[in-house]
Amino acid sequence: MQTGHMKELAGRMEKISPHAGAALRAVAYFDRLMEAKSGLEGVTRGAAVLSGSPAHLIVPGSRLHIRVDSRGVRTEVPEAPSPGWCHASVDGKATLWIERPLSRDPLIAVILERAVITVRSALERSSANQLTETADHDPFDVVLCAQAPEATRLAAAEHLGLGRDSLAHVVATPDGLLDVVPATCPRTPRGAAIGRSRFGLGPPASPEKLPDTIAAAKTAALFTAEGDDTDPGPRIVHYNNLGVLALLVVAADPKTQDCGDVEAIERVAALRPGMLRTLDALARCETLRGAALQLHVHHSTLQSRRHQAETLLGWELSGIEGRLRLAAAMMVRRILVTRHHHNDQAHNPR
Amino acid sequence: MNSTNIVDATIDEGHAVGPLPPYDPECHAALDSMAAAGVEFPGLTHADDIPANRKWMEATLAASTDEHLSSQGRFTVSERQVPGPEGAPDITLLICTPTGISSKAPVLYHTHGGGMIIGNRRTSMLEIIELAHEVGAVVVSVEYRLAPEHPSPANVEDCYAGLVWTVENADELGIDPERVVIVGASAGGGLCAGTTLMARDRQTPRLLGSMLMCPMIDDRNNTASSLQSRSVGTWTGVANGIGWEALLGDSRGGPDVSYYAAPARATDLSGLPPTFIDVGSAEVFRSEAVAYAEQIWTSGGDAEPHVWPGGFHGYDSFAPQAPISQATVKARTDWLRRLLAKT
Repeated sequence: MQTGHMKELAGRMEKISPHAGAALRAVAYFDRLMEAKSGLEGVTRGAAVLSGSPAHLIVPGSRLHIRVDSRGVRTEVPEAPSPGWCHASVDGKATLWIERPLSRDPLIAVILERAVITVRSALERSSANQLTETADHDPFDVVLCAQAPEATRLAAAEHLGLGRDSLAHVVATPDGLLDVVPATCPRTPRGAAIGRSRFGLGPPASPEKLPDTIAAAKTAALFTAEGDDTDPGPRIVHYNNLGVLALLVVAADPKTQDCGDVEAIERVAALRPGMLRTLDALARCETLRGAALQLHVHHSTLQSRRHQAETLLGWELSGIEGRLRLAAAMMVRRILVTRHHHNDQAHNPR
Repeated sequence: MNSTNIVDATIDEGHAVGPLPPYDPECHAALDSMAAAGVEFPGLTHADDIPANRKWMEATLAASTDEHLSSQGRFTVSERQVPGPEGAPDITLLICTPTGISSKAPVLYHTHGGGMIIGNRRTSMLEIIELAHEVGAVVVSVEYRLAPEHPSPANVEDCYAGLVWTVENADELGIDPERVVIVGASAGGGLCAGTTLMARDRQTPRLLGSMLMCPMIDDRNNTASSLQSRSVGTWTGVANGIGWEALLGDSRGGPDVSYYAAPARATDLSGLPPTFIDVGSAEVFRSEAVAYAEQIWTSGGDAEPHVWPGGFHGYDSFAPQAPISQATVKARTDWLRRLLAKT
C-alpha cells in the first residue's frame, strides 16, 4: 500500500462510481470511532465528512454546541439548526443535525443512525449525561408547547442552540407551519429551509416566552401575500411593525361584518389583470407619480385607471383618507384570501 | 530475498519494544471506511510485487492531470527537459507557477515519494500545490530514476541535477534563487535530506530550508518503529526493506552505504539549512525521523520536528479530515511562512 496519493485516489473513485459503497464506508467509519472510544467532536466530524455537509451536535446538559464543516474543520456556530435540516435525537440527550434539507436519502439515514449510536456510547462514558424530559419529542414542538413545564422547554431550547437569555422569533407560514429562529440570526429567517419564503414573524422573545408569541406570528402571517399580480403585498411581515393594524384580523370576518369595501376591490380587480397591483400601489404610494413609477406606466394612464377604480369603489383615492380606507380594505382582503387559500390551517401545529 | 528477514531485529538489549502505538481514531476510521468501500491496495511483501504497485500508482495518478494541478487556474503548469547528472539522460521537471505573480517567487523543489521504487513527478503534487498556494511559491517537481532498474546514486544525483538547473535558471522561471526550499514526503523526504547534504558538501546551491515529511532515511530498517511496523501499517517494515534493497542491493544495511542515499548514516549534520521534520508516532519512520532531528541539534543546527500521535504512514492524505492531519498541514504552512518571512 502506498501513501501520499489519496487525493488522486479519491478523484479516481469519484469518477468510477460517485456512490460506491458510501453506506458501507459510513458504517465502517463509525464502527471504528465507537471501538476507539472517539469523542463527540469526532462523531460530528464523521457525520459532516461522510455526508458532505456541515454537521452540528448539541448536548443541552453540557451547553455543548459543536459544528464541523464538510472538510472536517471545527467552526464557529453561525446559526442555530433548522427543523428543515436532517436530524436525529440521541434519546433526548443530544441532537445531531446535518445541514441539508430533510429527505429520504438512504445514505443520510445510515449516517444519522450510526452517528447516533456512537454519540450514545460517547455520552454514556461522559458526564454530559443528563436526561431531559424532551426525550422522543421534536425540540421545536416542545419549545412552542405552552403546556410543557418551563424547565423542559428551556432544555428543548438548548437543543436548538438557544440559551436562556437569547431572543428568538416564532416564524409562522400562512398554512400554519411553525418554526423558531434566533433574533440575532443575520440571515433571512429560515423560511427557505422549510420550503417557504412567505411567513410572519412574532416579536422577539426569550425561550420561556416563545409560546406566548405564536398567535402574534400567525397574525403576521395573515398579512403576508404572494407578492404577484393576483396577490400583491409583502411576503414577510413582522408582527411588531403591524401595531394597531393587527386588530384588523379580529375584525375581518365576513360572517359577522360587512365587507362591502372588499367586494368593491374584487370588482375593480375583475376589470383587467394587474388591477390589484395598481390598487396596491395607489394605496401605498404618496403621490400618483410615485405609483406610476412603481408600476412602470405613464402617470396619465394611471390617472385614468384611478378614475375607473374610484367609480367602482365608490370613494375617492386622491386624499389621505381615501388611500387609508383602500389600504385597510386591501389588508382585510389579504387576510380573507390568506385564510381561504390556506384553508384556515393556522390553528394546527406543524 | 527472504522478506521475513528484511527487518533486522537488532534493537538494543534491555529496551522492551511493545506493539505499534494505537492509531488516531479518526485516521483509523478513514482507513476502515476505504477498506469497507472495497478500495484495495496491492501488497508489497516481495520485490516481485513492484510492477503491480507501479501500475496501481499510475492509475491513481491519472487524476493528476495538468488541468487538475492548475487548481482552477491558480497555477500554470509546464514541463521542461533539463540536463541530468554527467553522463546520464536528461530529466523532466514539472513546473507549477502561481498565476498573477509579478515579483520573484520562492520555490518549493519537490522530490516525490514512493519507496524509491514507484511514483513519478506528479505523486503527491495535489498536496504540494496546496502548500505552495499558501505561501505563493513556484513548485518544481523532479522526475528521478527509480530503483531497482537504476540503483543508488541515480535517484539522488537526478534530484541534485534538477535542483542545480532550477537555481541556475531562476530568472527564466521567475523565482528567487535565494529562497529555495526543498520538500519531499516518504522516500521523497529521504531524497530531500540526501540532496540537502549533497548541496552542503558541494557548496551549491544554497538552500533556504529543507522540509522532510515522514522521511525514509535509514536503510538499516532496524529501529524500534521499524520493528513495531514490521508487518503492520500502510507502509510496513517489510515494504520498507524491499525499497531499500531495490536501491542499495546487497550493500543495504552494510558499512558502505552513502549518507546521500540514507541520510541517517550521516554523523555530522552541521551546516544544514533550517530543517522541518514531521512524522506519525505509529509509523515505520518515527524513530529515524526523531533521531535525525536530534542529530541536527547535536551538530548545532536548526530543526523543528513534529511527531503526531497515532499517525500511521500517510495519515494526513488518507484522513485529511482528522484533527491531527489539519494540524500537520498547519504546522508545515506555518513553518514555511516563518522561514520565508526571514528573507
